[in-house]
Amino acid sequence: MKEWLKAVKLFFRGAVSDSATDKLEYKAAVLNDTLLTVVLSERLGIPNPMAYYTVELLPYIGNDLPGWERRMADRESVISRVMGEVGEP
Amino acid sequence: MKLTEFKTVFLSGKGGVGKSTVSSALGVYFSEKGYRTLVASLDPAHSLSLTFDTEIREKPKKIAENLFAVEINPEKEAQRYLERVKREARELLSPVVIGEIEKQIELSYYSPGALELATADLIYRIAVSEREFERVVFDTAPSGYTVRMLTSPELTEEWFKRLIALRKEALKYRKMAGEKIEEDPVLRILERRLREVRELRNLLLSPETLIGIVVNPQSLPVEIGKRTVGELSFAGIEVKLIVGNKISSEDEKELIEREFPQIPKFFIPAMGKEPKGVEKLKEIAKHLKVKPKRGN
Repeated sequence: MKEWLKAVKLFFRGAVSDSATDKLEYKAAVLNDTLLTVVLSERLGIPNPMAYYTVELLPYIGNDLPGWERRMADRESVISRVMGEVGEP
Repeated sequence: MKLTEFKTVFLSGKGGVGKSTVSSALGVYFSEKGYRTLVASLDPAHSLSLTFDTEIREKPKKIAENLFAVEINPEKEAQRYLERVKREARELLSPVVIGEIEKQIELSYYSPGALELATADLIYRIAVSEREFERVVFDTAPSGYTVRMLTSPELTEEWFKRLIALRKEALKYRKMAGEKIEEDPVLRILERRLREVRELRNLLLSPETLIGIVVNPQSLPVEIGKRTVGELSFAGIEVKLIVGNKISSEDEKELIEREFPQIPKFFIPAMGKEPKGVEKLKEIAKHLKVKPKRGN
């Protein structure tokens, strides 16, 4: 019985903290997407007068490019979200 | 106004009015006063090699006692910078994305303002971060557009600050999710850029910085000069000097006096032949010693 209770406890801890971690990672990923959108905004037709400066960030945030491009397929929501968070330079 | 009080000088003006000649003469003037001086050309159409009559490259070359000159092409600077970014990308990114990222990096060479920002980077390095000279004279001035971008905190600083806040938030979540993050290169780059933009703004707005315009007594150079005065004052920067170059009569002097009231002026007479070499520049520098009066 004691063993079983321990297992139940472990199960719930795993379930709760894992989903919390997932949520945090998701939030971080959304913010990373926003940063990519700023750096690559010219691809979406939004001029970026600082493109020459922000391109320096690409080596550090560029690995997620395919994912970002996929999510950009749903442009409307992403752009409006990004504009809300960052604004134009 | 005393010329020697200014530690950094930018000369603007239409092509061919003699920016390089006047810059070189100013360099000679400062060096004769005993200041260790650098004359820097950031114009792709370099002409310091012509005015000093010796070959000048990317490393400061000694021309005379206390006088050095350098010519750096912003196009090359931009290429070097983007090459470095590409190298970093090849080191850090997965082969799946590298092709596309490299293309993106190459494209940013053609993005609007790229060369202007490359010029700003060079100015920062020569006049601020790696400054080795007591007086620095640039034969180029950043355009009204760049100046406005650099001097307006709402435009650039706030924008970088928001990106930094965004990145910090993302890092916070990642840390909470258990990731170990020591030093973030993205944050480092953004904070460096913010600092550079601030320091450049301070340089441009400093009372020890002189932004002058060189004009000839013809309508086009004068018109362009007036437009630059307007653009710069819109960006909060006062043009403190007008240099009337190639002046051959009192009427021409008066024309420039009339068109630029309230701004101190120097007048340099027409020389016939283009002045070449330090000795000739010394003659021009004599005209810079005349104390300019304000207005009429």
